Parts: sequence; C-alpha cells; structure tokens
Amino acid sequence: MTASVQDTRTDRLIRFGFLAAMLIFFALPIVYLFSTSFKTPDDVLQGRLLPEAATLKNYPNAFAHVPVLRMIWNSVAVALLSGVITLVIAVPATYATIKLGAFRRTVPNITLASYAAPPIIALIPLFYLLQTAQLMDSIPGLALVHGLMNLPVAFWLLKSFVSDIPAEIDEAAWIDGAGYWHTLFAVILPLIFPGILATALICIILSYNEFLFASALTFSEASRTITVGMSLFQGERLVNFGQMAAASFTGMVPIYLIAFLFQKHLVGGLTQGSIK
Amino acid sequence: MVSINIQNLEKHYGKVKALHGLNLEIDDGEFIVLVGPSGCGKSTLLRCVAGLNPISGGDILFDGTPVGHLPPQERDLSMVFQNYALYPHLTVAQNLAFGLKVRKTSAEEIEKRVKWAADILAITPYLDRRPRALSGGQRQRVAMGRAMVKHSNAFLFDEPLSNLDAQLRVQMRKEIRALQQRIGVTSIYVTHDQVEAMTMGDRIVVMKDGRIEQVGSPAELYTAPRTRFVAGFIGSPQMSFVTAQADGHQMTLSDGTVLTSATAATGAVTLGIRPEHFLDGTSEANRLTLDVTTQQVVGTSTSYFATLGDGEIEVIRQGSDTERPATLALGIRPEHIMVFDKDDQRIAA
Amino acid sequence: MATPPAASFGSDRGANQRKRAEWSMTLPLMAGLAIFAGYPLVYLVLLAFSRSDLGQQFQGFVGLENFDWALSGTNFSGSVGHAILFALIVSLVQLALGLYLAVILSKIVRGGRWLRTIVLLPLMTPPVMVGIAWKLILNPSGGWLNGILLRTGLIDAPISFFGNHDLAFPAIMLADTWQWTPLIVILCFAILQGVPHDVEEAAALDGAYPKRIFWTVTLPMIAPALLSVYLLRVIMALKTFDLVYTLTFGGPGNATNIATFEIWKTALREFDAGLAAAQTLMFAITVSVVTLPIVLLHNHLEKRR
Repeated sequence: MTASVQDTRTDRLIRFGFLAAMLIFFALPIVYLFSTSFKTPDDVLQGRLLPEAATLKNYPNAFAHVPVLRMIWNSVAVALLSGVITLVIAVPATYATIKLGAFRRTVPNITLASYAAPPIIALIPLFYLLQTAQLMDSIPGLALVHGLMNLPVAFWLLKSFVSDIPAEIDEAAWIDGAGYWHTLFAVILPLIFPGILATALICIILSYNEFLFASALTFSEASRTITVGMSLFQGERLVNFGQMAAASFTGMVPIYLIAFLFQKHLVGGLTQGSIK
Repeated sequence: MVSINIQNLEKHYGKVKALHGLNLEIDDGEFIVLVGPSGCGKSTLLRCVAGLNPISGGDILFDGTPVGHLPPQERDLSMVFQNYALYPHLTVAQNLAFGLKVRKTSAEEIEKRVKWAADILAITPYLDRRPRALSGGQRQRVAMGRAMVKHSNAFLFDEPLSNLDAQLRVQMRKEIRALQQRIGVTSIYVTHDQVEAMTMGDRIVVMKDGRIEQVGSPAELYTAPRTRFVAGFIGSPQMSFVTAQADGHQMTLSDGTVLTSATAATGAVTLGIRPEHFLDGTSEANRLTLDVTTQQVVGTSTSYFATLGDGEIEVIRQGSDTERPATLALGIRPEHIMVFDKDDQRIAA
Repeated sequence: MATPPAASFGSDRGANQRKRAEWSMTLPLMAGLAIFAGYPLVYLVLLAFSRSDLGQQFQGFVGLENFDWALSGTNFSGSVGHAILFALIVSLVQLALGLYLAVILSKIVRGGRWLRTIVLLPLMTPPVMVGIAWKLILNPSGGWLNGILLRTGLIDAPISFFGNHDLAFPAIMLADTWQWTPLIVILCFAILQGVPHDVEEAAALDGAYPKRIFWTVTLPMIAPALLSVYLLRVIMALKTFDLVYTLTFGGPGNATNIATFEIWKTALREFDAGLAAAQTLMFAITVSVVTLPIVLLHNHLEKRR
C-alpha cells in the first residue's frame, strides 16, 4: 500500500486480531492432530490441546494395525505416475492451443466443461472401463484415471505460463529451422519450467489427496491408497484416536514436505493459472 | 543470398484484406525498406516473406523458385525482431549456434562462424552471458549475430531499432547498413520511421492500406513523390499542403494569393511545399509576406508556422531564432511547388 | 498478429506441417478428455434409460423410469438442494474471509514466508485427513472443543456436533472453510497485487479515506476477478464428497446428504447403476443451471469495465 493511504490505530488492531485468529484457526486442527498422535487413550478423552503423558507407541501400533507405509507408497506411486501422464498429455496440447492456435476455442471449452462436471459422473463408466482393461484395483489403473482427471487443471495452469512467452521467441526458432516439436522441447520447455514444476506439484497433490475414485477403483492392499485406508480406519468398531491421528499424520507428511519445499512454486502456480 | 520476387501477393484475415495483390522485385544484395503508418501491411508483408503468415494468393519467389508454400523452417532466412526474441535460457554463444545446430552443422563450423560473427559485432566478451545480462544495444548485436551466422537467403528486419534510445538508434542504423554491405545479403527492413527509411534503404517501398504507394530510391521519393501521401510521409519536417484553383501555371489560393508553379493544371488542386524550400523574400519568384503564428527552435534550425490560404505552412530556417518575428518575407521557386490533382496524384511538371 | 486460420491452404506444405504438429500435439488431450468425460457421458445416458445394476448393465430399456423414481422415490432432490445450499454458502463465507485476509496480508511487508506456509497447509491436506482432524476437534468424547466447553462450564454434557441434526451441516461447512479459505486468500492476494496503485493514489489525493477507497475504487475494479474466484469455488464445492463421507456419512438421517454422496450410495451401496446414472445426469444439469447466472453476471461485469 502506498504512503498516502493511512489507517487509524483501531483499524490496525482489528486487522491484527483477525489475522491472528485466522492463523490460529488454520494451524489448530493440524496441531491438535499432531498432539493427539502422542496421546494415550485416556489422554485422548481429556480433550486437552497437549497430551499429559506423551507416548510414542501410537505410531508403531498404527503401523502394525494398518499397512500405513504401504498405502503411502501406493499413493506416492499413483501420484507420480499420474503426474507424468498428465504432463505428457497436457504440455504439448497447451503449446499447440496457445501458440499454434490449434482448436483454440474448442480445447479451452471442453477442458472447462469437463472440469465443471462432478467427477462422480465418470465413476461408474470408468469402473467398467478399468474392469474391461484389466486395470481394476491396480496402481497404473488409478494413475491413469487421476492423470486424465487432472488434465483440465494442468491445461489451465500451463496456459498462462505458455502465453507469457512472447510469440517472437517461437517464431525465431521456426525461422532458425526448428520444427514445432523441436521448438517445444528446445525452447518452450526450458522457459516454462517453473510452470511445469508448479503444475506437476499441484497435480501430484491432487492425485495424492483424491478419495472418490481411489475408494471405488482400489481395494486390495497392493493398490489401496492412504486416503482410502484412512477412511476405513473410521468404520472400525473401536476407534483408537491416538493411532488414527498417528496414521493420518504420517499420511500427510509427504504432502507437507512438498508444501514446505516448494511453497513459492505452489503459490506462484496457483496464482498464475487462475488470475488472467 | 537470393533475389526476391513478390507476385500478386494477397493476404486476408477472414473477410478483411490486409494485402491487395502486391508486386515487388528485390535484387540480390539489395537493402529494401518497407515504410508506412501502422496498419499499412508492412509487417504482414514481411511475415509473409518469412513464412510466419500463410499467404492467401499470389506467390513469393527466391531466385525464381516459388517458396510461398514452404513453412518458415524451410525458407532459410534470418530475422531480427523488434524485441530481439533471443532465447532467454541460452547463452549468447548458444543463441548464435541454435539455428546451425538445428541444421546439423558440424561443431567446428559452428564455432568458426560464431567466432566470426562475434568478432565483427564486438560481442566476444559476452558469449557466455545470458541475454538478460546484456544492455539493449548488446542484445541488438546478438540478434544481428544470430542472423549472420546462418549464411541465409536473406535478412528480414521487423522494426529492430524501435526499442533503443535515440542516440543508440542512430549508431545502430549505420552499423546495420555497414554490416549488410559487408556481407552483401539481401535485406528487407520494416520501419515506421521515415528518417530510418531514408538513411538506410537502397530503395524504399512506401505502403498504405495494404497497397504499395511507391517504390524508389530515397532521392526519387523525395523529389518525385507519386502521390500526396508519399509526399507527406517522406521528408522531415513534413510537407505543407494548401488547396488552390489552377489555371495553367497560375495557382489561386483561397485568400486570393496567386502562386506560379512549374507544373500546369486546371481546376481544384492541392499544392505541396516542403518547409526547407521557402527562400528569403529577396529571391525572384512567388514573393509572400506571412504572419507568423508560432515558432519552434530546434537547435540548429528554427521552424515558423504561418497561415497561407486554407492551410498552415511550416517554414524552416537555419540558426536558432529566439525572438519571434511578426511577419516573414518569403519566396518559393516555381519548381518547388508540387501540384496534386483531386485524386491526390501528383501532376508531373 | 494472431495465428491465422489455415483453412484455405489445403495443398500448402507449410500449412500441412503445421496442421500435423497441431493434431499430434492436441490429439492425446482430446483422447484423454474423451475417455474421462465424453465416454462417461454417453455411457451414463445409456445407463440412465436402462435397468442396470453394478454387476450387470443394460438389462432392458425402461424409458424415463429411473428419472421418475429418482425424483419421486428417493432422497435425491433433497440432496441436490443440500449440495447447492452448501456450495453457495461456503463459497460466499470463504470469499469474504479470504478477501479480508488477503487485504490484511497485502499490507504486511515482512514474514511472508511463514504466513504463506501456514496458509498453504490446510489447502494441501488430503480432505479425508481434514475430516479426521476436525472429527478429533469436534468429537463428543475427547474432542478439544467439547473439552473446553465442559471445563469452562458452558455445557454440562458433551455435544455431538456430527450427530445433531442442526449442527452437522455447519460442522461440515466449518471443516470445508478451513480447507478452502486459503485458496481464496492466495487468489485474492494475487488479484489485489494486480490493482494499479495510481488509481488508489488518485482517489487518496481526491481526499478519500482507505476504507472508502477500498469500497468505491478497489472493489468495483476487482469485482469480475472475485466473481471468477467465486465461480471456481462454487464448482469445486458442488463436487464435495470426501468430507461428508468421513465426517457424517450423510447423517444424521439425511441432514448432510449431498448429491454426490447420494449418487455414490445409489451406485456403490445399492448397486443401482441405472438410477445412479439418471441422478448423475440430473445433477450435472443442475450444476450448469446454478453456475450459469454467475457466469452471466461475470460476463456482464467484465463488459462494463
């Protein structure tokens, strides 16, 4: 804000109070989940923020009870594979649509329409498709579905990065004799690398977090993802909150790692792609 | 290096015609400048030659071979863009080498040519830098270098100097022209700046509304413009125009002033006089005394503005005159009064 | 210069090469969307007019029977109402909170890195885990909120937020707001960064105070962008499924039964694929009808600028 725009002291106090309240609001559930993962069953019932006698047992017990690490590994595998599928399809298509003007009305419209449609629409048909393709209950099968699911998101995120590159750069490459695919790989890809990274991260997170398709398309231990596993934790007769919190928190670690390491890329990707 | 032959070239965007059947022959090694106001089609023409815009009719020939159907990749041209369009992720050396690598030129040959271009352009110290770390003038040179290394059919320039400051622009004009003469490459240069056109081109193509108004050497365009548009566009300061009734060599202005022109005409005409062609009132023909309305001192010269007939005329004089005279006593030679008919075509003397 | 239409150059080699590149680059995307969106739509239409269960589809053509039954014999229309109500309300609340927070953040110069991380975490959290975290807080036995309320003596017996007919929906909205307000903050922050300072400065020179400048100058300028954010959020909120699944399973009764959950139950709990398909189609149409006015309003505001 500019120097000419002055605020009163009360305004500043109100703002600070609201900011503090919101930050506590954002942090609290994660903090509480984390602290619960160290609580004994008795401790849990107290409903206090911090455990009275912290225990580390919840983690090994949860891992023994549910194959947490295996499910996290499944989720990571699905997320990475689906990210690759999404980018391999979306990057050339975005380049062709934005820079070559290929189907420049059709592609944005159908991607938008398929994003707006609730994913539940695709659930039943994809269920049968995977069954026919013998990909049901497999990591590649779910990765394929997630990879296709994230196409509209990837297209809209990449779109703004690609259109930020001046048209003359491509044209210079063409005149230098580089074909369209060659231009994409040798000139455009290095230039939009930050955008590709941000898009990849966002697609990976969306896949890792996804539940609806994962719950319907994976069920055996070999392919079940962590979100599905955690939802099953819920249905059990005797819920051990400490163990559930321990397993949940472990399941969130990969995503939080990404958030910590790449926060700049993530925020940049989200804002670049959505604000035109 | 090739001769370029443009035949009946047409370009339309949907129903809008951008180029109306252009014909132009460019000799091998010639430096041609396309000039005109924005929207006249000069950039479109250049991009058609480059293959960046597909053509809608007619053809383009390089040394007699039609190339209108070829993609830009196969025309073997070099182009210097207004914003230089250097590859931001590559070093200067890699920028120069890109086009050669695409063509699978050998590594030694690439090195040789990059060194050759860098020496000529004095950019050798910057070969390992990225474009971001260069000044505007240096980027301009790298763009030139990228064009040079390829030994291409022709150079295409799309307003390459308009992002530079005035001083550097004047210097780069000279450098580009000297380089072009040294290499002897056929060049097409697009600009909206008529001074640039006059100082650089072997020949100038003046364009308007997707048509070629006139093609000629700078001197021809200055002394013998074919239309009122060319007369007004070429020359700085601009030519002044006044309407008149012609009866033979006698031109009567709306305020009753009678001027004698070397050109004969009848009926309604427009007279054009260049600011630098007004003489001191002591000279022989066409004596005038005009009230000065405003005056601008431009260092070595001074411009005076005065009303003549139904037009405002500009008079330019050497020296900086800080005091505004109330009136100016002027003379004009008859051969310096150009006469344009009602269709804005110049009537030959 | 925009890319020209290449229609008139069928025989042209340059245009052909370009066409080939365009097709080879876009075809995988088209195919992907055809598999993910096109094929399901066709399949759904066929299912909707047939008697189909999950194990055996297309047992016979039944006309509009599935649609009829969905509207008259099930909780479907109520669940659509819930979904729309949910989407419109949470999006509005989150837009208001997010915008205000973004305004505050745009005045803060330092500490951006930490604020950004805290704001990012809820957004990144898998929705299923969001459900678990909020369940821990709101649970009657051992929930933090109940713990506080009991200790301070505000209540005598623990409240079952997810078991109470009136509290369950707001509780889900609270969890949803926790997760998605950060996205709005990030987007609104970027929008505010894009507002040219000179306009605000001109208004300040005209004697307007900050609050007034925000309401009369800044807000009208960013209104179309805010509406886009709202639209995006409404579309996303209409897809909500995970939170309901983990927190309430649609209950108590049908209090939090939203359309996506109802369809899921029909398909994967009752195995009635035909009925679920009919419900899905009707829900998809509803989504378009709900989002259309927002799109029109957005276009209207955009034009006025």
